[in-house]
Amino acid sequence: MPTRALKSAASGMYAQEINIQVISNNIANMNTTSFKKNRAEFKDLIYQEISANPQNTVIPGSVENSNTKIQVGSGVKPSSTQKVFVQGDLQQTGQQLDVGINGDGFFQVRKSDGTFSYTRDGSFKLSSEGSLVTSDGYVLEPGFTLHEDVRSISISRDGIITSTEVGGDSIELGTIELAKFVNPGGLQAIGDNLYNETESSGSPILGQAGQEGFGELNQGFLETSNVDIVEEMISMISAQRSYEINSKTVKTVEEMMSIANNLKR
Amino acid sequence: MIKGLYNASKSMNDKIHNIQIVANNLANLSTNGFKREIPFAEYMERAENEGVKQVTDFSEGEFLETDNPLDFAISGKAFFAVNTEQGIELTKNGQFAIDSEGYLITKDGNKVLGEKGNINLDESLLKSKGEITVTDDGQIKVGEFFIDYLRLVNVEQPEMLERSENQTFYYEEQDFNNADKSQFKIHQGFIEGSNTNPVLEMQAMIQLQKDYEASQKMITSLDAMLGQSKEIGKY
Repeated sequence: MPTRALKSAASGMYAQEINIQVISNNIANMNTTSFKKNRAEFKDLIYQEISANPQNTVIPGSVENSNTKIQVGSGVKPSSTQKVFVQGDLQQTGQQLDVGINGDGFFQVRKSDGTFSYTRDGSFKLSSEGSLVTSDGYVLEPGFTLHEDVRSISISRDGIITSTEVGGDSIELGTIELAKFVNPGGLQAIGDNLYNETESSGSPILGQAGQEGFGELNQGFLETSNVDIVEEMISMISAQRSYEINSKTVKTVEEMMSIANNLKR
Repeated sequence: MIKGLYNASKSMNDKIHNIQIVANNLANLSTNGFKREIPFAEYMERAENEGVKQVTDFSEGEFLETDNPLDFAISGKAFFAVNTEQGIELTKNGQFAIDSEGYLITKDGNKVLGEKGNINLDESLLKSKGEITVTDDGQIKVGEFFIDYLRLVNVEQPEMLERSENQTFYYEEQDFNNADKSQFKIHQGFIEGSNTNPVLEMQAMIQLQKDYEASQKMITSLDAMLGQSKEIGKY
């Protein structure tokens, strides 16, 4: 009985289910600052050799010839999801602590346990100690501290932070360093717009903003999500249709089984 | 008449193999680098006459843009060569990554082969911090630093290739020729989608089902005729 066909179809339906889950997560994050869309990836399963002529083994005296064997695959399975690090649009917010990266770099932030994570979400706030922190309170690293007399700060395209004092003096406080990765697609997303380095992403390469490959900083701008709603809708349509056509396989095989059952009345 | 019964049942069995192949093609509609198998009588003929194990349709799938510098699609008749435990395997699926030692690997952790052997990107990256670029003819560079050429393999008779999981192909003889650089073009930041065509598969599925039904009808009528012949000579 063609149960292998049923299982292949079921694996195809399951794969499309995962695909829809990934797409729906993308759509849900349409308005998440600096969100990078995901893409589900699939791989085919093992191929088994079966005899193309099953009667050979039935007819007495016949010899099985290996050349008449064919390989039949056993379906598909979801293998991984891939982050797509295409630049999102930069949207003006007018907030002086909002920084958008135009390029490939990431901000390096230190979490409360002392480990580093990376983010492109530049909506920074001031902490009570006067350092720049993300919305979740993770500290920008290497950072700087502002004291009480600062009236405003400006961040240049190459990351140099200058503060203007109440008296009108300008003081250079430091520079924002960005991290970049050989294979950003290999970064592990841990939620809260944060990424962790992994073996496949490689170690972070630190450098000043504005250097080649790191990207420039734009003060008063935030990077929007790079989810393209039209593209997601199209992916959703094709995932739904793929799901449907796999269910048609189930139906066809089921009908064939019923035909076989009707051989004997 | 008994021979007729055999033929009809063989036909039913063939259809079952074919529906399994169609089911597998459809399940892999979204699998990058997947090559569909041809599920028809045409293929049964080839299998018996030329000793070919299966017929894979090596036509090109759609190219999808990903912008990932480690995604590659090949246009033309060539495969990426991958170093596995079983020897060299071939694939059209150019979704690569870099492992902790700096080797270019496939998503299954097997090393991708360059013309000088495994491709290591570690040291040079630390030196230059540049971008990884791969030209049309497979030249890998980090910044301005030349690493290696990707090893692209041409197979004279792709129908002799055996399929292995994860969109790879295997050939026992292992005597691969490097593809001529004019025969292919590598597109960085693209991947090749599955070449399964749902319309063709749907058509195949309908035809298979109808053929299956026809063979079943043949068996039932032969059965009825045999039943009739039994009646001859009875009063």
